[in-house]
Amino acid sequence: MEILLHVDNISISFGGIKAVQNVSFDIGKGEILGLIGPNGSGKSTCVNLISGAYKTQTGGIRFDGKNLTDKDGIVERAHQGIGRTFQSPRPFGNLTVYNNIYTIFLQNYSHHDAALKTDEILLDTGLNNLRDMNSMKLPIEKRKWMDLARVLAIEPKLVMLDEVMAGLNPSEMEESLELVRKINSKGISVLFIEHVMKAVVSICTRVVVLNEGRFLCEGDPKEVLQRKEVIEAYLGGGHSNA
Amino acid sequence: MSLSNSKKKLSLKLVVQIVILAAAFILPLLVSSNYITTVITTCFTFAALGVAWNLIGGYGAQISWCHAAFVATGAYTGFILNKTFGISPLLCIPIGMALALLISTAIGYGTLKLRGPFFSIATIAFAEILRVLLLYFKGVTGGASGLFVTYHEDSILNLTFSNDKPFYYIMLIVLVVVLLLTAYFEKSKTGYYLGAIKGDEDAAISLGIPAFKIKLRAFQLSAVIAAAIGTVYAFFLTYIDPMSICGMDLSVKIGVVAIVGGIGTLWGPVVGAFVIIPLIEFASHLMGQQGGTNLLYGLALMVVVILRSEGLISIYTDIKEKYKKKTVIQSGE
Repeated sequence: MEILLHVDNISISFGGIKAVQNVSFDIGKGEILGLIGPNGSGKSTCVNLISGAYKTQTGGIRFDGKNLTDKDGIVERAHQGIGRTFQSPRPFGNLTVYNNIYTIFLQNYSHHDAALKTDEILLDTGLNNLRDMNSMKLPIEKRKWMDLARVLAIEPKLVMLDEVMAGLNPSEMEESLELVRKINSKGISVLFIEHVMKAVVSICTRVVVLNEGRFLCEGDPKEVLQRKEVIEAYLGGGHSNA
Repeated sequence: MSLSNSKKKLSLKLVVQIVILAAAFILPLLVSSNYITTVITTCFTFAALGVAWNLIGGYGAQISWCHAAFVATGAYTGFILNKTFGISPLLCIPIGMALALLISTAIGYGTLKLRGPFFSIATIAFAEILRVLLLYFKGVTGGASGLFVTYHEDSILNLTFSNDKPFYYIMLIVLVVVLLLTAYFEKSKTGYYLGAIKGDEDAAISLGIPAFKIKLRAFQLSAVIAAAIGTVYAFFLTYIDPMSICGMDLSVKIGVVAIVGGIGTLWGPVVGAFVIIPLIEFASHLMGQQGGTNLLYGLALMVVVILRSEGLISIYTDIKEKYKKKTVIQSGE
């Protein structure tokens, strides 16, 4: 599989806390890669490093054949096709659902074409009947979908979904997974950061496990989740011996 | 909503606006009092300044307290060039605008990357620095004594008139132009991006919107318009000094007009100006100039923040929404 994102030995510390230490992994074109690990393992920090919100202190990131430098900030990386959602949805609360998406499309299209593209995305993501609603009034599940729809408006090559399943009930989770599959079917690679293992197993082709800011292991989701070191990382060392 | 319905609504809106505009043009012919003409001209001026302030303060949620400095830039440019070189104030307008563009770019580069209240604090500091400079270079600016223009003859080129009626029409045209420009800005790409930045700056950046660049653009536009109005306003006043044209009082008045009327709305500052300016006049007669106006700002802000945090214009939008809902329910039945 052709590599889209190559994360090579990246690190970052905040004061004395080593949030991410020498982490490396790849994401192939069209792949859904799971990035898992217990709380504080560095998953979201990795997302922030890839998106350009934080600057790497060691190592480098190569995206779509190009080395990303410090000059490639968040805005530039978004234009290159790196999209992300946040753990808590962050709608433009003063705008309607439609305008949340339309505004982002305007970056690459005329008003007329952006309107057509927005209509398309609203239908694709099942948000069309909520298009005129203020985005702050959306229920949590729909807010997450809108976040996702808005990321799609940058026409990304890679979407990083940060705990998109958190706070959803089983049926909402199933619908959201379907949406992620739909996005992936368009050739968009997905970095799926998640705590809900059922979702990870059902959607990811491969997972990377982090623990305490370090790379722990990677492989097939079902196989990796059986590994002793992964269980220990999630449940604590004593548990696996019990 | 069907296309014919929305077209009907648009044309009704246009008709209402044309009627208001026509009434505004006819009004001076029916009013003989120069005082009333002066008060309404002041309302137009502050409405236009409020609309300009709204570009960054309302649409961008970057609260600026230095707009008096941009007004002063336009005012002093006009007065100094007119008195020293005899240049027509109409030609001074673009020069004042260019200066305001330079100054706003310098302030913006230094402050618009800051989040929270830091931008507002920095703008206060800038306005005060300019005011002190105006006092210091008294050879050019007249210092605390200020500058004035004398009336020789009615002249559109020199913006001198024997009464305020011509200024009424000039300021009305300025207001209409500023409103049209802002309406265009609202629907422009920059207007949409600014809306997104106001909603959530971090999210907007993560989606590729260059927040700093967009905020700077809005700030520059706001400053340039304020400077243009400042030149005309100075000739309307016939006298300017650093305290009255570059003081905190004027910056606050411009901001309050927009906030009371409706922050981030096209017509809010117009409503705000037509409420605040007459109230100030009333309070000045009743309680004396300074104390009365300060008391009124405080009261007006308190009342609006407590009862109508979205500004007085929200009364109209609420009624419109209720009417819309009622119509939908009735058509559903």
